[in-house]
Amino acid sequence: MIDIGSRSFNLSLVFLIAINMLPHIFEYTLPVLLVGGACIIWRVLFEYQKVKLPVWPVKLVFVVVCLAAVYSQYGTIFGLEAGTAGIIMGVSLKLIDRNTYHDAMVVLFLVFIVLLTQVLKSQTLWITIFAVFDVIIITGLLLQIHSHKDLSFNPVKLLTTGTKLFLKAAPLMVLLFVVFPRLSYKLNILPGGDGSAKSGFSDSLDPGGISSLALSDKVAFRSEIIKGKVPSPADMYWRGATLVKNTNGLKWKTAKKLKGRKYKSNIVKGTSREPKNNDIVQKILLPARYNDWLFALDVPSYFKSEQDKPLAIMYQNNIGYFMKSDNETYSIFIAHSNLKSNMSLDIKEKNTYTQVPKQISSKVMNLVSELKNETTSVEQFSAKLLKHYQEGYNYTLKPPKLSVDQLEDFLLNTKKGFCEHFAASFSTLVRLAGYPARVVVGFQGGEINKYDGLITIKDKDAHAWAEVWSESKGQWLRYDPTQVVAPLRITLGGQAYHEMINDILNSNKEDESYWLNEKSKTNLLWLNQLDQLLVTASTRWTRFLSEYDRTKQIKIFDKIGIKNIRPAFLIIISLISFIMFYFWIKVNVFKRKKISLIDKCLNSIYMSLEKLKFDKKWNEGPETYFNRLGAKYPEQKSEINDLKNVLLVYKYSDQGCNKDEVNQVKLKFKKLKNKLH
Amino acid sequence: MKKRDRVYIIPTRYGLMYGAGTLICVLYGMVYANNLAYLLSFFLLAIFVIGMHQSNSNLKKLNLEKINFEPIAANSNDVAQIYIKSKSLDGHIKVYVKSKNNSDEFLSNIDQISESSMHVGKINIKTGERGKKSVPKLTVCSRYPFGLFYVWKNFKLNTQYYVYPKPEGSLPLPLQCQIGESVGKNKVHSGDEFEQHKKYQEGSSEKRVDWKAFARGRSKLIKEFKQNSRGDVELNINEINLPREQSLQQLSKWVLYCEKQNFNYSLDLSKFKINSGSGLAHKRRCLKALAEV
Repeated sequence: MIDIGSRSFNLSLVFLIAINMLPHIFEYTLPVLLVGGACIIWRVLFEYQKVKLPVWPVKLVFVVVCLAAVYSQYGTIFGLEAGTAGIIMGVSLKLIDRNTYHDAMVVLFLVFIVLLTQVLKSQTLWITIFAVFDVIIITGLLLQIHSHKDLSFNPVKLLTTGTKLFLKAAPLMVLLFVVFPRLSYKLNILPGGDGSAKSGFSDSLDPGGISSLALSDKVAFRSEIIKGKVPSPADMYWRGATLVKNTNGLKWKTAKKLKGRKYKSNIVKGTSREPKNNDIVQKILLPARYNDWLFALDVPSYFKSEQDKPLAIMYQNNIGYFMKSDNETYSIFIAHSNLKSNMSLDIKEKNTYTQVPKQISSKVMNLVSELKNETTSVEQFSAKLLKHYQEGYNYTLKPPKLSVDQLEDFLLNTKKGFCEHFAASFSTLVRLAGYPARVVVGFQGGEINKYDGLITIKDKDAHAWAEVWSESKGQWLRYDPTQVVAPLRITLGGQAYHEMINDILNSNKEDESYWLNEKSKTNLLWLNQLDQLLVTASTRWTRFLSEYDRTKQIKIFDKIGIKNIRPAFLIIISLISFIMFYFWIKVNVFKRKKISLIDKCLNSIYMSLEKLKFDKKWNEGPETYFNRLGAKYPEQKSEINDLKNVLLVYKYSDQGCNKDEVNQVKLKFKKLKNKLH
Repeated sequence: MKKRDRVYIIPTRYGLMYGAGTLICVLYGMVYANNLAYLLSFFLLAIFVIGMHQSNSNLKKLNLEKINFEPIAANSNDVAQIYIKSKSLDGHIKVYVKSKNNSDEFLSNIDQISESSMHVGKINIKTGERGKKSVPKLTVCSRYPFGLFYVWKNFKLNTQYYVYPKPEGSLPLPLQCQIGESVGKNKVHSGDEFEQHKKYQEGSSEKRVDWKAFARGRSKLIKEFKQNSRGDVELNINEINLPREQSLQQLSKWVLYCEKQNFNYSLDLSKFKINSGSGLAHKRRCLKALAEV
């Protein structure tokens, strides 16, 4: 084993691993990050000779601890999420393993794998840029370790050699990308998303779940309104999951999810449907982070995968949840929404929607009967309930901790919370009054991007609201208690509201127009403009990546006149591009030095005379070489001398020679050579 | 293609790992219809091809010309001069020359050979038994540029080299004359008293050139000095009372010692006799005899 003694090379490896951890930093749990960080620090200290690398029992303990950490986190050590966490830990552990050539190579390859897992999870512009940067550094280091005696860290050289290699590899990459045959269907053989992707969006309600999400600035999804009026931000309720199970006053869950065969039998390929009169037709661009849920303007009645993929949709009308299959990095859906949807409730469903937790404190029951007093319908009761929320309840992202009976504590003591507290308690109170109710989680708000006109919904827009069944109207009515507690949250939308939340809560100004004005001011800031621009670019790129498939391929070849291209033909084209690339490399990549015309000519003369068993000696110049040639063939001596003189003038004179002159020399040599035979 | 120009290439274990990784990447692209995974795998494939091609061209038009040997001691490490000629228009990077025959190992580690030139470098030799040996089949190999491929080229040089017995032994030098008695005068290149100038010949050490004289406009001259030599030493294998190999080792040691001390010495190996003399050629002759006998 060759030791890599170069500190700077090892530090560049450490640096490479560190930057490869960056995209994962928010996704992985503390143990993964701790192991990674500790190994990096250990290695850096080792490089500066402060510590030794651990002995094998210590390493073994580390490995066991890492495996246990992954298992405890994900319940398995396989699968995409758990696997990635495992690989990240593995590559970190490799850092403190040994210090040889073999280790350096293994680290470099593991980094490739880490990159691959990253790529599998999302196809955003950022990941693409990151991947390009990453492969440039990896190939640069790979080249450095094999070509230089000097392994010092030279970032400029590393980037330039890496970039050069990348550009040389680019033609094949692009060509194959275009022509490599795509499958028209999806295989499902490899272990993939284990459904535990963290979206930040949670399909169960347990106040606290959304508080952290509200601060994240990630784009949740984007939407393009194709037909119909774009609703005002306050009316943009993006429906996600419907929660029906009330387990404990504030805790709500979805109905039982279908699994296995039942799930598969419910997967349908969306059939085309003409939108109805008042339907708002939207195109939803949804990243993979949201594995189970589709989002659309409330109330969606129809979904269809834009790419006609049969993976699509499970749609349960009554309970109203939608599920898409996983293993996608990005999905594009068409949704039809109509603010009025006609549904009815049968007895069984009525029971479901009036289910309440078994233990409810008498104080809460008193509150309910107090509110129900003098009301005759669910509408009246709900209105009264809203009024109750308007008085004395406060919006905050940092609610106080609730005691054992959460519902009672919240309703009667703390009265502080965010949308989840309000929606959950509201629905519970309606149910306690005997009316069917449920909680809907999704997003509220969204900003229209001025560059591409699409609506951007961010994690900050996450929201929860209540729905109450009106027997008389025969439909579900939306009640949003947050609207009465913090009206600005709804008018401004989640993004602007959370950005300005400190100012809003501190200033006591409740004038809507003032805050709307503030919002438009912040929108004009260059940072926000840039953000919009980047979101546009990112969406375009992601759409391109996720939409380039067999249909697109056929379209491209249609355009250049090849109809109905077959996969077999595409494979042949791929092979041809592969071979073309090989020859392109041959002529292009290895011209390290440009040599002059006359040197080229001289070299060809040497080569062709070699075939006549007349080798050029390594230590002789052209003059001695031709003198020797003249001595060998005395009959042609004068011709040889002529040739020599011309060549010497061309080679050593200041003005050099042009192509024609060289060609004449070549011709002369050709004649001479024939005589030498 | 001539056989000696044939370049062999196989993927290293890292190359296999890399290939498997690329394949997995394509598979993932197919299974998840993930275009970024496709892009990544096609990039990996392109790098693989570039690596393959560059590995191959790194050894193309490279010829192992010759190795210049001095006699080498047995069971020791020594170096010889290696000549490698490049006819390629591109340089060569990180090239190794190695061999492994029964007893002697050759290894040379060359960082760079510039294009269309002759590289003169060192090759390390780890010797085994003594004897007259032919240079084993030498392999010129490389893992440049990415370590994904191992390329090599075989050369068979028709060169022989001598491995003389390892200089070892503790017997005193058999002196014919009393120490201090002057027998004959030996002209040497360094010593006590300047005697004469000699014309410079190619191969003479530059250190011995009389640069002062050269600066005065005279041609390159070599200074010779007179030294009182200690006399002729007769090294005879029959006079050593040791097993044969050990006596040969003792003789090697004496030859090297005498040469160092500028003694005139002769070597008698019963079958084989070398008359008294000194100097590089004489030493070489003696050591070769010791190697071969």
